[in-house]
Amino acid sequence: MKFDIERPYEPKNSEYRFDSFASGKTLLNKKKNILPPMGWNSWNAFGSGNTEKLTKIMADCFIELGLDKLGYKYLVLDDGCYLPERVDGKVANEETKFSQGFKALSDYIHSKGLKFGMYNDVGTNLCAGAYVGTCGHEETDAQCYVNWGVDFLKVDNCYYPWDNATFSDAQNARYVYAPNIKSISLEKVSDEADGKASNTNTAIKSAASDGVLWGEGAYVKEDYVTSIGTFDGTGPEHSPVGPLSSELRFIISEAPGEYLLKVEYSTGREVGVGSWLQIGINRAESAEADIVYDDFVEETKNGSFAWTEPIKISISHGENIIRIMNHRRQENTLCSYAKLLEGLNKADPNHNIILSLCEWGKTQPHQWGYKVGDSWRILNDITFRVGADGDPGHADWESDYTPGVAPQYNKAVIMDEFAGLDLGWNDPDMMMIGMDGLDMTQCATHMAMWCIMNSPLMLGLDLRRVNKGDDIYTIITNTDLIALNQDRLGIQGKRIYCSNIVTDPSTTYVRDNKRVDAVAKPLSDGSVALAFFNLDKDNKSDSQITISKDDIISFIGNKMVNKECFEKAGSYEIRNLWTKETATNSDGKFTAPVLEPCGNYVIKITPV
Amino acid sequence: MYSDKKYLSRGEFIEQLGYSIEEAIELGIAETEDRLFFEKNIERRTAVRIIHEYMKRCLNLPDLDDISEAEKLKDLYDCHICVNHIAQVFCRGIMNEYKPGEFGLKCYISKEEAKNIAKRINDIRGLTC
Repeated sequence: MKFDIERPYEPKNSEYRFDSFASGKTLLNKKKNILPPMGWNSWNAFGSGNTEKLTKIMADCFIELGLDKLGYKYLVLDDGCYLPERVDGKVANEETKFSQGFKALSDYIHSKGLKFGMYNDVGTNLCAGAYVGTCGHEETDAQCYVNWGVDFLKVDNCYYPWDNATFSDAQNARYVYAPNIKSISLEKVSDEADGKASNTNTAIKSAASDGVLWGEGAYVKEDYVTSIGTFDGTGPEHSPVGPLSSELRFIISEAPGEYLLKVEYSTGREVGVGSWLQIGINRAESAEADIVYDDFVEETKNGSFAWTEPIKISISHGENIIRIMNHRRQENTLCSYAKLLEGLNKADPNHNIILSLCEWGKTQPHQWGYKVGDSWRILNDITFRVGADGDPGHADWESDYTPGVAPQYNKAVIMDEFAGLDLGWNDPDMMMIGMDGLDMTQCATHMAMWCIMNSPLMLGLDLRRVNKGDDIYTIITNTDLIALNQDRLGIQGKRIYCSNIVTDPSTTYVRDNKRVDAVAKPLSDGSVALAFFNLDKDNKSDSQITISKDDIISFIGNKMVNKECFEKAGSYEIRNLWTKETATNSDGKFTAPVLEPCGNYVIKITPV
Repeated sequence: MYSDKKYLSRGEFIEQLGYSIEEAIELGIAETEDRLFFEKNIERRTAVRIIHEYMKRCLNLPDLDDISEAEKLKDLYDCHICVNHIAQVFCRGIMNEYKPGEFGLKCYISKEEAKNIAKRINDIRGLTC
C-alpha cells in the first residue's frame, strides 16, 4: 500500500490490536529470551555533540576498563549523528562528526569484540530535528542498518504523525481519541431466524444513561461521553498498573439478527476529543472484538453533533457488547515499530538486532511492546541536562516531573509483571552514574535499583573520567549486582515492602520519596536477592527494617525455582553485595541497618 | 543586518551573535542543520539552543543549577532535547515567555524580539568580561 502521511498503518490482523495485547504472542517472529542489554549510550554523555572520535575512544575505554568482560557490550550512537536530510532517499552520516561513515565505525567497534547500536525515530524527524525519521522509509532504513552491521536500534517517537507526540501537530490528537459520543441507534434489518425484514422500531440508546464506561479516562459530561482513548504515559502522574484506556460500551439485549448501527458524535482535534472512531462487537463472551468500523468520521463544527452513516452489524444469541472506542494511540505506534521490524526481517531474516522502543511510555508500551521490541521506555527522560565533551552533564535524585533516579524507579518498580524473558524489559532510561549532581551513595543506589529491576544497563558518562579502582568504577563493575541483572531466570525484582503505605506494595504507585522500599528477586540458583532502598534524600531511615522469609515467599514464592527448599531451609547464607561479607542466618529474618539518605543495602540469601 | 522580512532567519540570528555560520559550527554554537536551514525563519526552540551553546562556549557561563523558575512554562517538557536550553535562557532573562505560562517553542522570532535578545546578551557579555 502506498505511503500516505495522513493515514496510520493498518493493523495487519487481530494480533496488532488492543484485544490481543494480553495474548503474549509476539509478531513477525520477534526473538525473545534476551537478557537486559548492557552497554553505553552517547546521549547522557555527549548529547548531540557525540562524534566518531569520541565513540572510538569509548570503545577503547570499554576494553581498558575491562567492561566488556563484565557484560557491557553495546555502544549506541544516539541522536546527532546524521545529516539533516536524506541523501538519495537514505539516512547518511554527518560528515564532520562522523567523517568515515557508520560502516567504518561499526567495523571498529566489532573489531573490539563489542556491538554497535544506532538511533532513529518512528516519526518523520529525529528529536533534534533531522528530517530522517523512519516513517515511510522503514524498509530502506532497515536495509541500511543491516548493511552497517547494527546490533541495536533505539527508536524514538518525536514528530510522530499519528499521535500528538513531541513536535507533532497537537491536532494529531484527532487520531487517538474517539469523538464525543451522545447516543447510538439500532434499527433492525432482519431477523436471524428467517432473514425477513423486520418492522421493529429503531432503538436509541443514550451514552450517558444507557452506556457503560469501561476502563479509566472517559467520563460523562452533560449528556455525552468524552475522553475515550488511552492515557498519555509520558509524565509521572498516572500509575502504570490497572486500566490505562477507556471505552463506552452498550450491552445489547436485542433479539439476534442484522441491524443498522448509527452513532451520534461530535469531533475535535484536541486531547480528549478526536475524530477517529473504532466500533467493535463482542459476541457471546468472545475475547476479541469484531471490528466493524475503524476510521475517521466526518468532522463536525463547533461542538455540534451528527450521525454516522449506518453500519451493518449482526447480533447473535447471548450477550453482545457494542464497544465505542479508540485504541489507535497504542495500535498506531505498535504498527509503526512493527513496520521497522518487518524491514529488518526482510533485510536479514536471521538478524539479532535488539529493538529498544523509546516512546517515553506515551502509549503505555509495557502492554504491547513485547510484541515487537526488547525494551520500552516508561517515562520522559531521566535528565534533560545532558553532557558534552568536557561537561559531565547534570543529574538529580528527584524532581516533580520525570528527571531523577527516584521518579523513574517509582514507576518501574511496580511494573515487574510486565517484564520477563518471554516479553522484554521495562526501561527507566539510561543511567546517570558519573554526572554532576549525584553523590556516590546515590550512584550506588541507582546501580542497585537498575540491576534488581532488570533494567537495561546503559552507561551514560564519558568513560575517560573513570579509572580502575575509583568509586565510579567500583559501582559500575559490581559483579554481584550485574549478576542479579543478568540472572538467567529473568525475573524483575518485586517490591514487597514500602514503609509509607498500607496497600499492596507490589502494585501501589508511590511518588512520596520519604520512605524505604524492599525489593525481592528470585534467582536461578534458588537464592533470593533482597534490596532495601531509602528514597529520602535528606534523612536517614527511621529504624532498621526486617523482612522475613515468609514475607518473601508470600510475594514471590510462585516465581522461585525451589520455594520449598527456601521455605524449609534450616539456615541461610547472607552475602552483602557491596562489602562481599557473608554471614549465616538461622531465623529466616533479614534486617537492613539504618540507611543513609538515598542509601541501599543489598543481600543475596541462599538457603543452606 | 536585518532583511525586510517580519521574522529573523537562522542565519541572521547567528550573525547577530557576531559569527558566520561556518564559524558558529566550528565553535559548536550551531549545528549542520543550521547551515541547511540558514534562510528559514528561526523558531524559539532553535534560538535557545544557539544562545545556550553561545553562553557556555563563548561566554564560559556555567549552567544555573536552579531552573525552577522555568517550570511554570507548561510547554517546557514538550521537547525533551530543548528543556535545558529553554530553562537556562529563560532563567537568565534572555528570552521571556511567548505568552503567559508558555514559552512558544515553534513560534518565530520577530525583529523586535531579536533586538531585545541582542541587548540582553550584550548585558550579560558585559558582566562576564
